[in-house]
Amino acid sequence: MITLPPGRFTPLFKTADNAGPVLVDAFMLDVHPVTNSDFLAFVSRHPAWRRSRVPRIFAETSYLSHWTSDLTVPASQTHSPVTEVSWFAAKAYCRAQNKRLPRVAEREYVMSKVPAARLLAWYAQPPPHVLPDVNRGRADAYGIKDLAGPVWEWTLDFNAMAAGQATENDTRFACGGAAVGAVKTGDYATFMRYAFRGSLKANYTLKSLGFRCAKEKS
Amino acid sequence: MKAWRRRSVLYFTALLALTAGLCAFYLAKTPEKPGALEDIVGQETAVLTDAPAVPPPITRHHPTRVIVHLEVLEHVGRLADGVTYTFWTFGGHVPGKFIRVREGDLVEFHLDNNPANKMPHNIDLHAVNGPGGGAASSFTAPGHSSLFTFRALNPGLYVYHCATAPVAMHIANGMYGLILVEPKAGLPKVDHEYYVMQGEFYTKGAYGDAGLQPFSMTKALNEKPDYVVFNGAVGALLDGKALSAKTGETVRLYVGNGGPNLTSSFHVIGEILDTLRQDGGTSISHNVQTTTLPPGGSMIAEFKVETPGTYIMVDHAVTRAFNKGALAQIKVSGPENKAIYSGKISDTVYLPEGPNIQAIGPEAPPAPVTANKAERIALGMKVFANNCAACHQATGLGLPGAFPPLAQSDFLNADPKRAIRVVTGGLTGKVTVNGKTFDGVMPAWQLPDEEIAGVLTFVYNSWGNAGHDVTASDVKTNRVAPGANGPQDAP
Repeated sequence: MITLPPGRFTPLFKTADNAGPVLVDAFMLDVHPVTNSDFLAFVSRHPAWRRSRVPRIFAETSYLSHWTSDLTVPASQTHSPVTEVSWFAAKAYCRAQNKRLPRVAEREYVMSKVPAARLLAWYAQPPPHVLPDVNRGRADAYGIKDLAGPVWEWTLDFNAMAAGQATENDTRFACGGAAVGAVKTGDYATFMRYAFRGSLKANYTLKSLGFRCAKEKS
Repeated sequence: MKAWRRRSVLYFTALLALTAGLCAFYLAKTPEKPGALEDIVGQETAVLTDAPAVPPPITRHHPTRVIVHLEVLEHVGRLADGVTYTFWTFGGHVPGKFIRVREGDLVEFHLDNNPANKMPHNIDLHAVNGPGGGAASSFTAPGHSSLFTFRALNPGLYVYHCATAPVAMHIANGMYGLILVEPKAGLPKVDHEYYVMQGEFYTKGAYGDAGLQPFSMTKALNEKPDYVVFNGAVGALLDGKALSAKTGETVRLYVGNGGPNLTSSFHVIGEILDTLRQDGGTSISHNVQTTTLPPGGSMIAEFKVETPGTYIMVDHAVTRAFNKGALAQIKVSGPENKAIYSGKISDTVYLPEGPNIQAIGPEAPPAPVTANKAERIALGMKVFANNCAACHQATGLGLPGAFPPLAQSDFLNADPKRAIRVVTGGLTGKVTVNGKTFDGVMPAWQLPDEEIAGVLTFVYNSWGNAGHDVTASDVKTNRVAPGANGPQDAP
């Protein structure tokens, strides 16, 4: 893991009590996304998370559907980021490593150091059939790799904006009105990340969605 | 399972159940306005077509439940020759599938977001009466499908588009199409119906730069696209892919503008829009040349094609047509109709103010009077420089194949009186000078006698010519009316 220094970033949306930068404490973050082989080790030790056993409420039907069986990862994807994992599964994985998922603020803080052009370039490319080996990833900020693709990543509080407003998460990014209240309306790369998170539910298992873990600074 | 926290399981279960319950309650309470709406009879699956095709007219006389499945696909396609782009599409192409329903229909709309896609998407149909035009109800993560229904209350031609943030990028990547809510009485029968939609693309490279071009956020924010195209690519409706009709047939165009930013000045070169449903609504105007299509707007135009040939559709903000791709064609075949349009009858040289006159401005000052040959040569030098040197050249050598030489010209030196006639009357047709044939036009020079005398004297006394002295009185005696000289024989 890599320790990130404390710092500030400006959230995309203003809140009633803050339109400016917010402080993020120092924290630790995995160098690269969790791989299929990492996740295989986890489900081997935690049978409840094998794809034949996981309840639908915790992971929808496409959970780990790119694996050939409960405990078989295609050889070409061993070191690729694991995808088709739900928030519940990602959260359980991190806990099993004595880690946790990064918070939205932590994710946005580190992403604020990645050039928008790099993100837009990833967004513009259709995904490859086989996701690349994480060991060949590019360091995007602080030595942390693969931040601008090849996968989206879960965050601990991805649906935090929904808190107290049951429909807010669904509608905010669904209209031109998304620009209302945004600090930087020209920051499309960040808008896409917020919109993507806004489209998720915790049991979703998407082809382009993986995760990495974080930890408090030791 | 021991890893679960019971409490969070309960919490999420309760939350999901509550959400589901609320949705069910909401759906059940969705107003049907009993009495205000006709009964829905039966159901059918909508016929969806890719541009430029349009689904067949609806022949039903009652409203039904129309099931629409529209799949969002993100994929690389051709933007121009040698140029590719990652399009985000409703149904695989730009523009999206054409949807056709009848006024009063209940539309059951399924938005399917392909699992291979990276982005969440949704749809705002301008035909919907409801918040976001369906946008909030159709916000869908990749690998998911959303369902909502709406009643097609208002007849007309409506744009639909993705409305997910950042909206401008989703639309700029191609996420727009048209839905026709056909009036209960239907539309008048025509021979051809076509689907055309304008949109602009903001690429990192300039127009024509080869390779996969990423979206340019900077150009989008500045509203400076490199591509303005019909049906999603440069040349999508040109040559082999042009629209077609035969003379005497009627054509109906369903035209939309996806934008995201530019207003189109839609025009069909060589056609008048006989009937125009401006803005895709119910008000009809006739005999329109150019119509405005705002982003997110549409129109329906009908016209009869009278004469054969190629008719070009453009955005009449013409830089977009000439330099950015906004060109499409309708090829009309069939017999000529000379009574309506003759085609080119002849092509002749055009000279203003009559057959062979080169008029000098009315404000020209009176010409000076010359007393002798030297003064005539001096005056003639200026007249020559101002009027003759452009063609015959300052050297008097003319230009081979175009303008005959005056220097040591057998034609010129043989006959000063003929020279006066040529300058005053002009000369059209074949003339042989020093053995070379020229077939051009020399205009008649509306110059005073003194100036013509001067210029001829200057020419006769330059470049080894015969040295004649031509006076104003010679000119007066020998001048002819403009156009008097037909083709000249060789001397």
